[in-house]
Amino acid sequence: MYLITAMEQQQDYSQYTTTTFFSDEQFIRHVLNGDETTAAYWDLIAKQYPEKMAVMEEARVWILMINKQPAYQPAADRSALWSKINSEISAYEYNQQRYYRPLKIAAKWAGSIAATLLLFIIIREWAAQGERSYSTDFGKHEQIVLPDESVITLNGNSGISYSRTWRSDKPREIWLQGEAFFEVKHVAIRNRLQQSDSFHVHVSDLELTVLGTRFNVKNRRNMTEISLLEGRLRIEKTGKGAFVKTLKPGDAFIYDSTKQQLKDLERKPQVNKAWTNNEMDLDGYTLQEILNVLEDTYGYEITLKTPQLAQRRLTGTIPATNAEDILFVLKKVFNLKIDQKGNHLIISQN
Amino acid sequence: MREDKVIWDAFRYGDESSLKVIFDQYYTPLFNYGHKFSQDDHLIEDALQDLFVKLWKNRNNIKETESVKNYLYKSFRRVLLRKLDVQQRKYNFTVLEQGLDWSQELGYDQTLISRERLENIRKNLALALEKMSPRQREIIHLRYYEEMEYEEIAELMQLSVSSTYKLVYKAIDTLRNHLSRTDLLLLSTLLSLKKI
Repeated sequence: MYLITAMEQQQDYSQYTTTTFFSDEQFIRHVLNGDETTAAYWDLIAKQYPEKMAVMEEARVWILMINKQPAYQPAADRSALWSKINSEISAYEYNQQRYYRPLKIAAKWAGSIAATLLLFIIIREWAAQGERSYSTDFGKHEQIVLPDESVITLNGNSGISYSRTWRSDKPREIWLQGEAFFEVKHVAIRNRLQQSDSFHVHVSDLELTVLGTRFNVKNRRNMTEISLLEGRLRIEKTGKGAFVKTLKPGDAFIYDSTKQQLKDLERKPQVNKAWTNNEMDLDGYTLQEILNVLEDTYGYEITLKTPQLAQRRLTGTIPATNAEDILFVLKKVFNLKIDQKGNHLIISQN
Repeated sequence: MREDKVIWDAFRYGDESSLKVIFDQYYTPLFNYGHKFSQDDHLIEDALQDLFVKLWKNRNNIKETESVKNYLYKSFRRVLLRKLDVQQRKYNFTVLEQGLDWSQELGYDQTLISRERLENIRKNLALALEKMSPRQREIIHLRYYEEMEYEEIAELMQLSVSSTYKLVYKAIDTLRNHLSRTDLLLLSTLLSLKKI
């Protein structure tokens, strides 16, 4: 087959040199893997081109010289190299068993633990949805920044709660117990007032509706004082004895939830928010009212042994960082005798 | 080469003794191939060690192969060239070993060509090969020594088949150009000898 195909397309070898023979694929194949047929063919060519015999021979020697080179015999030791490879493989396998696989297993475990934890958190969040609440101990203040950036300052022994999911298409709503000062962020776009822009405070059985304002709400002993410093505020009572009252800045009202009665409050709004600066403005307070504050906000239990003192008044501002400051001033000004037994104060005229 | 594949597959499935069989089988050919790049036996040993450890580590990602030999050569070449590169050694490739008794290797002892003529031919070839680029020399080695096809060489050296052919033509050209000069030189010396 080789002979026939080669003969059919027989080359013109007259121009062949050593290099052309050397690079001739047919010739290479013959020299490297020749058989009788290829030998017959190239014998024929040699007879046809006797002058090429020398270069053919040279090309053949070249091919064989490269091909028949004995493989390099390194001085290195084969089995020594294999032991090196073997020990490296063993060390690798050992580490895989010892560290990598346990790590993988640990990672798997950690993964499932993390997943469980995440699920737990999600469930908890889900369960707690709708409600977030803050409360303060006696004599402590706390500032809370709401999701809309409104700020609420809680007086001692007070608490608020609100729905966590404040969506922009719903009014903001807060439930209050005790006393708090509100600085409500105005979110409405000018001239485009919407229901959803309003801010509601639920206190006692009242609903206060505001936009952006600053106001103080105090809810103690069934009495709710609302003092507006800025903006507009609407007090709304639904159900029995329903009413609506709109407040201007400087207005202060007191609502008695037992009588369902709204009255002007003698004390001015500025006075009523003095506590946020750790002060107590005494304008408009009777001694009884001051003692009420000490009970409601600072957690004392007070017995006034001299009832005629209750309606006494004084003016001025006293520091109110702690109850002792207030008590000290009262003691000096009214010349009082104060017996303290734990939380219980017994007050009488000296 | 079927056996080769059976052993290769056994190794891929984690049989270390099969890797040993492959190692034993290819130690000498690979060392020889590596020796063409560098005469530093330690470097070649390091490359071999890296190669076989790497083979073991990656055995899960190694695919079936048409030719175990080509796969090993290609991987070994890559490891070795990187090592040479790190050591900033030049990529060099030697085809012919010096100091070999060619008449014995070729079995030409009592035949047509005398020892002297053989030595002459060897010198010619060695000179011609020296004129080639290392890559050309490598192709010559792979074609004539390893008896690889051009497609296999292209795959091994990461070249296209056409550029492999081009490299060979250039190599042959180099040979031709060089040879014609030495032939002339030889001829002129012969002529001058005759005059005397």
